[in-house]
Amino acid sequence: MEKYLEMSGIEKTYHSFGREIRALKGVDFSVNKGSVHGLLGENGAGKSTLMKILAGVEAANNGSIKLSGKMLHMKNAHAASQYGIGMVHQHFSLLDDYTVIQNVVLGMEPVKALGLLDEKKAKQAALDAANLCGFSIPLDKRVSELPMGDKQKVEIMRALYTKAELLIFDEPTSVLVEQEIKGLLDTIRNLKNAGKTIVYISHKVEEVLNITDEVTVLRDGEKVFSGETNTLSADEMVRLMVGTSLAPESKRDRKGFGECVLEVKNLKSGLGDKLFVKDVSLSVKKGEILGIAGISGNGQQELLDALFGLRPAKSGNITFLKNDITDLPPIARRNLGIGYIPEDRVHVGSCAEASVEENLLIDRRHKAPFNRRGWLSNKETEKLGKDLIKRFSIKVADGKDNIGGLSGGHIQRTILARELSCEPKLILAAEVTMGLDVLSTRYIHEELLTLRKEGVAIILVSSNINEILSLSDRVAVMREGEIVADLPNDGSLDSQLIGAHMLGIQNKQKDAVSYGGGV
Amino acid sequence: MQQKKRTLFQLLVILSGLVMALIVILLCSDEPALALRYFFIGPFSSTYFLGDMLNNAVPLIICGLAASISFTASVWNLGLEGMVYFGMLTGTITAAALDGVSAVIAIPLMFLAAFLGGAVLSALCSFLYSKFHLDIMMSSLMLANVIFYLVFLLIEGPLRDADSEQGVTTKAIPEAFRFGKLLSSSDLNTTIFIALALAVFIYFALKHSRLGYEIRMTGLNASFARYGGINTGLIAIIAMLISGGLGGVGGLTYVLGTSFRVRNQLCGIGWSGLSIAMISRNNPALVVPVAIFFAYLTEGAQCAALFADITPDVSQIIQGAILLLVTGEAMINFLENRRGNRKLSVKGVSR
Repeated sequence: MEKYLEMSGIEKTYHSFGREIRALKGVDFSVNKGSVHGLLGENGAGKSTLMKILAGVEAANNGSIKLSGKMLHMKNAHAASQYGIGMVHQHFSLLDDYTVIQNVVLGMEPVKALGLLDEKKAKQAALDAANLCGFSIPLDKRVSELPMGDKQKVEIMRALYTKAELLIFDEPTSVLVEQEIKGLLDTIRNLKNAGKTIVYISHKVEEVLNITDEVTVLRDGEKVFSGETNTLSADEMVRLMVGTSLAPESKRDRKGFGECVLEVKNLKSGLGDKLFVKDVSLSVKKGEILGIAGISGNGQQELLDALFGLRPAKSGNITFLKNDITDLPPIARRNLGIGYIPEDRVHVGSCAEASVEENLLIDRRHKAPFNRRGWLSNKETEKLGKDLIKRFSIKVADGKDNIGGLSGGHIQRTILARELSCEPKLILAAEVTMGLDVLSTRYIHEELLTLRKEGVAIILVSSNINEILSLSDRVAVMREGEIVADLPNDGSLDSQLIGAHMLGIQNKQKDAVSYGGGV
Repeated sequence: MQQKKRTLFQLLVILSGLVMALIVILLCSDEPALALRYFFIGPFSSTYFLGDMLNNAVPLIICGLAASISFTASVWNLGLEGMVYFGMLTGTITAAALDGVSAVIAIPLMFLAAFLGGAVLSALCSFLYSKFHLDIMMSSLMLANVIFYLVFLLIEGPLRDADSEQGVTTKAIPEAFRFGKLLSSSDLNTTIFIALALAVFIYFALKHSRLGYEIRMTGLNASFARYGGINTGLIAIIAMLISGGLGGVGGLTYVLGTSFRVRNQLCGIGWSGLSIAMISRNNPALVVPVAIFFAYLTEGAQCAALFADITPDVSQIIQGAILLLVTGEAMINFLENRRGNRKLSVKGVSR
């Protein structure tokens, strides 16, 4: 097979706060025409940087890029698209208020006389792009009305519309649910059959094994493997990515649970007339993990915010260890023993411009020994920082460094360190491993299982069904602000079933059955 | 941008402001050499000018601190000038009313009255915000304008001292309450120690007290602060109250050191305080030198107007130009910081 893309000796160094970060240390990367090529690596391994250089978003310090043997001069993203390189971004770059057609042609609109948009041609172009990969998608709908999977299809159509021959998918499954992932993988096969070349960036080994022909593995800005996918096993891939082999993840043991820790009855919460949490009732016991599955944006975050006191309850009540906490502010709930790991770890869970120590201090700033008659003890704060940095293996040179300079995984460890170190009785945790690499994910899962063993009640919100299934004792599914299913995780659950509840397919079937049975 | 580079850049901007002064003087003056000499060296040429310069810096330091506290909490108290003016009035009225009382009792009461005068306006803005969600930036700015005319009305009416030889003013502060002079012939007095002590105290309080920590966290990231259990609404109100109160205290030191009475005209120290806070990036340790630099500019312009053919209007132009440049530079930093943080947050999730 002919070499289609050849990147050689790519180097990239970032300067940040007086420090040099060598993101890429002379990476060679080549892709055969008409193949699906996986680019595998942990967060921070340099995958995205390499692809940004290929897409013209960033400039390399050194190295060359050849496409079909021709040297490319990448001035900007526009140049890349003229060379036939298209990118499907992890975070979509679509205009929500525009229709699918408008989004597809945006930037290269077909025009009539007087510079007016040629709507016929635009529609035809969008239709052509949809047909090429077998999408059926409402072309006149606004993008904001589409589910995530369809938004991604619009991104793909945009790339095809610009006549892209090489398509780069950046962590494409991170925003999709099970059923949508199947669709995406089919799409990629269709594109391959249509003669397109595809680069598939991911840190999920199963996906790479499933879809790619060849794979390149990056670690710490260096290429550690390149070759055919079927020469590697899943374990070998993980070892290449991580650099060491991992101990198998510990299993959730079966056991009984203690007393009821949290009981929520008919909770409603929202903004104005709009309810984000509609009549939710749930309970969680000592030592139990309640997983809440759902497509993100179905009220899970609002539910946790309401349980923590960041959002007022409209009606209903929340009982925590026999205390009615419905109207208590966050600080009172913290004092009672509730910890919260919020979904947005960068803007809510931490303060980027404050030091690691200051980030650790926030929930105990009013307590002894940190607070002495209104003054904070420097010594105690430093000690707290040192202890927790060590105990949670947070990678930071000094507790006085700003947390914003840490990687996502270590920001999350810092948040975990704070929330777990104050002897909580209930932990609310949202999307704790989203976007994190294998090692950090593993670490966080272990910490949650340890807590469970110690008898802490945990509510775990995640859009990753596999995470929910492997950690939870009970699984609730949330859709449009309601709990639509609450099932014990006794081995009878699988991702298909949960996914169906998440999408609302299950309910319709059940209704049909119950009507048919005359119940 | 690295810290070193940034400091260099900042110095360069201040320097180019001074170059601008040079150009304006060259254009406007018939004897530019003389005017330049008095503008740049004048403030250091005698103890009188030096003392005046430092005395001018006293209210500027306190107002700079006042603005820093509200800015640190991300509360944009643009009405500081109004609070300064109102606190000045309440402090002066109290002083006049306590004429004959022992200074040990009267002086703390004067400062208390000045603090409360400024804080009352802050409280009003905070109330409007929590009740009607009226933006504090707008409400404080507009309220300040109302207050100016209210104070003018009082000074020109019931509070006017008919015997005053200094135009329309209130009664003067009793001699017994005036602070001791430090450099003979100049106005410099012991209030400068109050200003310096406040700067030191606020520097440590913001850094090491629980309230200071809560103010900083609220200002840096309100969502995080709320999540951490801080009552951000209350903290914002407290920061606003302290800011307004300190503004009033700053106003009173101006009366005590410079004017000895409240005139029916504005002195602009509140506005300068906002600029000083911005340039020193809300750092109380930097507020002191920046306030002295501002006072130096004022004093230099006065010297040049006194001994050369520069009119005070020209001095205003020079000050305005320097202020514009320096504030512009602070603004660039401010925006760059925000952009940098955004980049940082993206990096925090994935690279």
